[in-house]
Amino acid sequence: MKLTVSRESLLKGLQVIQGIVEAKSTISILSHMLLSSGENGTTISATDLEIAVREPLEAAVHSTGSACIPAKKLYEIVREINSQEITIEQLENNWINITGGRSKFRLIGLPEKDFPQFPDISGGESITMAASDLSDIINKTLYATGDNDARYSLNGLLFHANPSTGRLVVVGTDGHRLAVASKDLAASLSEERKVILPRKAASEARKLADSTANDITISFNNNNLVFSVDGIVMISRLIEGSYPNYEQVIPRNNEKRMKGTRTELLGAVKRAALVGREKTFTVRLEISEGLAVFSSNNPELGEANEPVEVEYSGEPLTLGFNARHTVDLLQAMNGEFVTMELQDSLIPAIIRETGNTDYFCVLMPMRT
Amino acid sequence: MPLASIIGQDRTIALLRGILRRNIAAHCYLFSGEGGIGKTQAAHEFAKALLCREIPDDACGVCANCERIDAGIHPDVRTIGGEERQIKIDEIRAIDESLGKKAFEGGRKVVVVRQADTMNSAAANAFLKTLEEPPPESVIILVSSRPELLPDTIRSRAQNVRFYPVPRGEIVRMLEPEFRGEADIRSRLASGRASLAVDPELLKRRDEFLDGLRRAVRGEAEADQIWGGREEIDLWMDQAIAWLRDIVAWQASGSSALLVNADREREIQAAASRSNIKAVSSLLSEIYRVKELLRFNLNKQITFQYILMRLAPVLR
Repeated sequence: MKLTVSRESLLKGLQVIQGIVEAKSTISILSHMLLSSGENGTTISATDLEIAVREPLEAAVHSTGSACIPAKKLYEIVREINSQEITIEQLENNWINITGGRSKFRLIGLPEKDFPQFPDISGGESITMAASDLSDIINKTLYATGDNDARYSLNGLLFHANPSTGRLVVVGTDGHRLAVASKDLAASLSEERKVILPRKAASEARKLADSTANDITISFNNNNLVFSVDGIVMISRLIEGSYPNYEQVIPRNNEKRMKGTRTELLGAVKRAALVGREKTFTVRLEISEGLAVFSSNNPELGEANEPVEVEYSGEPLTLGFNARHTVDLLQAMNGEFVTMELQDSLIPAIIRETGNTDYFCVLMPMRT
Repeated sequence: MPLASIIGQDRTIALLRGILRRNIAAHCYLFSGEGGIGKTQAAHEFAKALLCREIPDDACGVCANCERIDAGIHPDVRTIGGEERQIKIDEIRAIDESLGKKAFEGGRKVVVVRQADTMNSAAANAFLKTLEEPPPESVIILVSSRPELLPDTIRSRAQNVRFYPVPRGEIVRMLEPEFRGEADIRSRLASGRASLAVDPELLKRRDEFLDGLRRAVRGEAEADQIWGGREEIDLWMDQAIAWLRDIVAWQASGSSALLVNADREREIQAAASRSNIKAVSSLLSEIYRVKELLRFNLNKQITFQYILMRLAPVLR
């Protein structure tokens, strides 16, 4: 194989896969990418056995073939090389020559046949959505997922496509907080689909969505979820098992409403948390007519008190929240105002972007 | 066909192939039996057979799945353990997490844990949840030559598949074509372990170690000179055990039929006439006990010198 590519497009292609190739994997082939050119053009593929990516690369092909090249090293070389055009040539015994300008590199590659097979992605049903929408719903839910939770199904986002309601609902929860974002389904599916996308894959999908302005296609297959846009195909393995019935934890009778400015509340929580007890991270929220006061106290440090003006009329109410969880969710929201729906100090709170019915969070209170 | 090619484990292999044929693989197996008799090999071939699409009850060895499992690069097959150290909790957590996802290629997910008894207790406990409620389509194969060291909680969650030492006759039959003149002595030295029987260095190493032991106890060589490092301690112990065992066997039966080191009959005979059976057999059981203690952090070199000292009266 021998081909010439522009430094810029190769660099862009390599950037996409950097999050996926593992620098210190126990399986050395996984730190390599597969560069192959054949009848269907030239492509770059990489995988960590959970996520697999294949993307097209514009190249002038002198001879076809495939080569496994150390992905991080190639990226570093291409980034530093001082030439607009780079030639990659595969030599005998998996050696790879990289030349650009006056620079010449010879890298040790691996045999192409050792590279994991690209998963079969035929036969799934697809939906399409604007990249910005996908990025938005992942952004609004990902923070709430578990990390290394022994309940595997919580370590990912639930993608629930329901043709009967015509909605795609994306849910993240770690058992203490829950985030639910939804969008209209642009295509009709023949059956209801419920899949759990691992955390890392969701974050890569968000990156993919952020890199484009075009519509993204999401295909539901049996074992994987496929995101494709601009010729790039990203496949993720799914988490096994069923997602907990999250609807059960959404409180039904939260009739007390508190409306406030998001950035003011966010700032108040952040400041109140500064003197909080680090282990529990609790902030206390006292709501009375027109005023919310976030406070915390730490016997070793002292106290903090942060009043914020809000719209509230009703019985005074005192609750405790995990400060970090509260900050996460206020940061993930983007409306000017947020509304908290409350009942009493031990019932979870529902938090919405005021006026947005497509997104809400549920936050478990803490005892103060 | 690889599972079928494992020597001397006919009943066990038939059991495994029956499982494959009827497609009733359980979620967790414990392959147990002495070291070197083919458990690890069988676990590897069983993993291949579970994913091989060519043959229903064995691995073809040539399809893409088989080839990649052989090369250790199949995305849905993981092998851990089998190194000279404990299996740590991080490795088990990685397994747990990986089994918690659907198979990369859509078939089964297989995990082989070699020397499962080297899991430390934190790792074993971390494994319990997965063994208790295994994710669908996953098969975990624990391999251990010392299953009694595994926690009960692990053993009770796995189906035990026993492997037995290979009968000597079968080893002889297997060796005949390649090692004509040596088949008999090799089958004896291997004591039922097929992988050892075909080791080209088997006889040479036996001679080296046995003569080393004897030179050292006679004072012809310093213990430090023949000591090659801590990883040799098992070999030295095994050599000493085989030799003492032969002396006892001779003293008890007066016949060469039961000897391991049958080619050294005369030396055994001489040693047997010099010592009494009670002393040798109590020494033998002591060395067994020390061998057992080696898995705790004994200083290997001091242990070696101690063994030499104890052997002196018999080997001199």
